[in-house]
Amino acid sequence: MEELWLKYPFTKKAIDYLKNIKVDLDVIRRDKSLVEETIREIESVFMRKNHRNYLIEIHDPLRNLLVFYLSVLFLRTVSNTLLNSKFAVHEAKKYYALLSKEPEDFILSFAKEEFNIGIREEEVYGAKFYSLHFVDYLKYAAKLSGPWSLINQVIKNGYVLITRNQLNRILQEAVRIKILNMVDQPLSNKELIREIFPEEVQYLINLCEKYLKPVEIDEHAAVKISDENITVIPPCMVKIMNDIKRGVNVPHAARFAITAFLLNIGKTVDEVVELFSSAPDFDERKTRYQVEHIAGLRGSGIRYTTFKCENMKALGFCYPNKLCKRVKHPLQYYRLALRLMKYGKREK
Amino acid sequence: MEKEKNKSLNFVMKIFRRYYKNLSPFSVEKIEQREFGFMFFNKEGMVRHTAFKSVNELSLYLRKHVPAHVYYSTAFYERPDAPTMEEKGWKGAELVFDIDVDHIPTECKKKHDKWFCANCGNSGNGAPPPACPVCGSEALRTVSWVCDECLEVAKEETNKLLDFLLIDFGFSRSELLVCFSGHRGFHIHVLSEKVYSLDQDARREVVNYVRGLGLSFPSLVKAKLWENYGWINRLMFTAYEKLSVRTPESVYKKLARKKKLVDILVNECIERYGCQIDERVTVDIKRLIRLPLSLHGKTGMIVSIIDDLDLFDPLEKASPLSSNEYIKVKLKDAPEKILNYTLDKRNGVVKLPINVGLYLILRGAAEVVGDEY
Repeated sequence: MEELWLKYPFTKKAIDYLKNIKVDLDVIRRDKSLVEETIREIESVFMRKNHRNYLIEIHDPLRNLLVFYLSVLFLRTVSNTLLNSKFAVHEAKKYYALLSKEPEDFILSFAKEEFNIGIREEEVYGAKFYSLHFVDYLKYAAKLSGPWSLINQVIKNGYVLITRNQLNRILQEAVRIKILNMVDQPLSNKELIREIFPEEVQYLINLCEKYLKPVEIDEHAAVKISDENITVIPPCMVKIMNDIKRGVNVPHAARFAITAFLLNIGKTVDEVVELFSSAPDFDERKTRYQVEHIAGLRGSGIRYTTFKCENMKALGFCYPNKLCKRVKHPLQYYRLALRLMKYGKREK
Repeated sequence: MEKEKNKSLNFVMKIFRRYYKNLSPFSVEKIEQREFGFMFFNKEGMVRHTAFKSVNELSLYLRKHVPAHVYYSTAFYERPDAPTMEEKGWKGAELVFDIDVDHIPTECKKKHDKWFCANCGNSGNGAPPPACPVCGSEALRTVSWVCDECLEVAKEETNKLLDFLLIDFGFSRSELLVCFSGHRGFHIHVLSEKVYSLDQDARREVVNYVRGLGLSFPSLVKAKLWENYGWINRLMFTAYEKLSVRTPESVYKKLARKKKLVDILVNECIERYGCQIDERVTVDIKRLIRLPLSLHGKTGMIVSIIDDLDLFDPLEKASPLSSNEYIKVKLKDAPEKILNYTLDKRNGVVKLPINVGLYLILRGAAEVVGDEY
């Protein structure tokens, strides 16, 4: 089982192994093909792919380990949060494909030792299930939508019952968060890496410039109210937009809220889809489908509006400013702000 | 008039001071990591960002300042007394639930609640409409009271919640702190290290679970496998009763291609078992909530810790005063009923059990007359 761990370069066991063999950056630098492979790995983040592309096998775990660590080193040097989230999603999907094929005993100790998730084995009418405490479940599944909602799970005495497939998917999320934390960590000796790999680092920076330019929506238009600059787009929506642009994996409800809001202030489906292009799990086809649905171009034909303030507050998305006191709905805020901008303030 | 007001305030302060002076030592989990907030009888606004190293220190504060309302954070902080949320350093929070009849429509509200239109002066009984039916103004003022019927409804909802927490979520009763809110409902705190780290999204999932939000009818395979657990159990039970059948197979046979009937069943089940909590309280991970065992400054009742909910009688168990004492007060538009105490008159001078008197004085529906206090 020991060698199985080496296939997963982000695990404690793999890290310990790497520490023991003492890698020399100078030796790595001279291994041109390794550096090349690392760049390809990071580049593949931008490639369009479907699920099958991830079905890989790792033939040389040690080399994979080195590629992973060099990737992390490069990303920490470039330190682009968008690239980081995309990389974390990409890698997590890759290791999900691998994990799905691992034997059960490995999966259970993987969950326990890496993420401190205690998984129980359950048997019902001869069928095999697993269970984990609902707090652990929510830690990873609360950001997932639809069929993952807690209410449609079976909870038995605090434990959520899941299938092996669901377990794999939960571990994918755990791996994603773990890798994201690794690449998001600041690096103190950035300059050293830039010196050793000048071309590679520059190449990655250019890549980010090319693919990860955030979309501009005129949320900066502002109006002054008693010495405070107040944006025309309500602060809750600005926050969600900024989060999306920074590559934060925002919750489903927030995506709905911003989509419905933007469509209602006259943005096109294309513009909204573009905004989401910086989301780490962006899939244009799916996004377009959902945006069109909210726009009323599909399904029931109902054009949805965004949540009212009360619900935004309940969802924890509310960051009120002065103007918010006067409205009950984000769209009402937008119209009021526009009016104030056009005709000047008519304040009490 | 002014003199009577002063007399009433003196009476109230005396009761509150005596209560905090005689309050026996109690415990507050991780008190040194909590933020405290206070409101006072003679000051506007709330004093926040206060912290205490021990219960002893807190007790001294309560005795010295005699606050009208005492709140503490459900959250634990590195520096609970820091002035901004960022500086406080959030470490975790209890999972709390608030059940308040104010949010639950009840039949009895028609009897004791009134609303007034600030614009045209029109008024009506029961919960206020969204806007005045006469002039359309939204500026409505309400006067609401709590009777024993209201409290029964709150108890019922709390019992539903306890079922979810004990059976579905598997907490033990000793991990739950059930408190009377001091006014219209109950607060349930989950004191289990495991839940402290839950973030807002996760808490929202818990809220949806207990409210029954987004519940869908399971597949036959799922129903057969998990008939005895959680919402599937509740759904199947409802279906058996409604359709007069006894197995999942027969339920699915009866429901085949009857989408509307499925929806009706699901809604019926949610109505019966879903719990009406104030979701904002549960989702908020930085909330202040009333300190258990403190006094509610609008009713004079203790935020008491409850062991047996069904036997809980607030006027008897949550009053800082014995009901054998009486006080003479002048009533001013008092309701017919306060919890389970029925008043003979709604205006004029009467002698009342002292706890009922305190309640009415704090709600502004009575004033002290005479010199006993």
